[in-house]
Amino acid sequence: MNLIYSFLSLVVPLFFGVVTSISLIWHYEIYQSTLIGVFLSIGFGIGITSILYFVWSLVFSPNAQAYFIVEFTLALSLLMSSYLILRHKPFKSLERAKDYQSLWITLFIGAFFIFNLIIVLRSFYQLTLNSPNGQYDAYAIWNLRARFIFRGGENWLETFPNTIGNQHYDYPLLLPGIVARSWSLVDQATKIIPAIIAGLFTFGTAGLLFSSIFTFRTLSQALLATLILICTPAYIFWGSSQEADIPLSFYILSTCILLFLHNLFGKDQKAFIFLAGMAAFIIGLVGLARRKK
Amino acid sequence: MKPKILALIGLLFILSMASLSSRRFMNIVMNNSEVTQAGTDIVSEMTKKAECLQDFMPKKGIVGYLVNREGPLPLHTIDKTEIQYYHLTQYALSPVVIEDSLDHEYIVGHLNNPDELGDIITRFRLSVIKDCGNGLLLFKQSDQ
Repeated sequence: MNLIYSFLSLVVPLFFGVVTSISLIWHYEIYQSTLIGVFLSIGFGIGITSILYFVWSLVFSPNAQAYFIVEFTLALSLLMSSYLILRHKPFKSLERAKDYQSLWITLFIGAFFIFNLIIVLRSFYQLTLNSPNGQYDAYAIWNLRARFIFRGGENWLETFPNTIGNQHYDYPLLLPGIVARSWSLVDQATKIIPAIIAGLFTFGTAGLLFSSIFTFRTLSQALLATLILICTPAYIFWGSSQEADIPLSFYILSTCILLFLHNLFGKDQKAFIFLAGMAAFIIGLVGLARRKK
Repeated sequence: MKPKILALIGLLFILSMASLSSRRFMNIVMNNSEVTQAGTDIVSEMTKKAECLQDFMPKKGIVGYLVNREGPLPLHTIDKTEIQYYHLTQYALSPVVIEDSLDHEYIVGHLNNPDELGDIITRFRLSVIKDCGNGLLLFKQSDQ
């Protein structure tokens, strides 16, 4: 049951991301970017929810049930407004560049990709079983902050004293925010939630790479690039570590893709404003994910 | 050699290297725990171990910390295992904040040598509130 509740606790953040990114992409008729939008929504949803929870915790209390009523109401309002904006938009079919690669070669690469993806998923799962609380920095910094917020209750700000210099209290709260929010929802500090979030960012980054190359190049090139990424042991190791490095790489990749999209659709003023805003927001999330000197 | 054949050789090379890499990594992860810094789940062990202190500790605020007769934990001089235990203790006892100082009413001790206990009590004028065994204790300042 814990596993099911943990997955359910992340439905609203993902919903936020999907509705925001997909509806904006469809609104500006950049249909080629729909698949990119699906993977972007992971970072967007988690980012938006983490910021929302942080602001709520500053003003009210981190563990208030009212927060989830507000969050759910906002999600429904977002869905309604997206429906109202998009209901008269005709959906155009996607025009793709012709893939000159042989079908057999694409199938061959695809088979290798699926085989390796299964191995990588198994490795990720085993790493999570080996260290269910993540690696050193996860329990010394990121999940610790989440515990401070979740268990600190109304006094959570007192758990971040600026007089103690050895605990990196100035580290940003994107990851602790989303973990503490989800712990509040299921009402326990379960190990499953940080592990699921780590998985979302790890495989979301790979998905983002795949979707961007698939959109602008070919399927076989997208499969090859993603294969190289997921078969890099350090990537899967740090992905399962529950630390902020892979979320940071997600937002950096997102920014690069959005800047490329901006360059591509720059003549369209509306798309320009939307994409520039999207890139700026994500750069902001990079700052919220990981502090670097 | 034709460019098409060269591309095919390159493709096969990438595919075989990627497969070897993922397969080897899975073997390491499945058979060898050295890939994880934490090894076994020491976080859960520490959380369970620290449960015995929680009824005796303040529910919030800052408490002190010491590891040996030298007093507070000078992070730049001690070994990584001690720093790791400091962070594990902090994780287990959150939301109480643990500071590497003796300037607090309550002090958590994670002694690397429990034989030093008598010496520590005399030297820093502490009284033992709770001894969980395995070097984990809760002290109180005697003169406060």
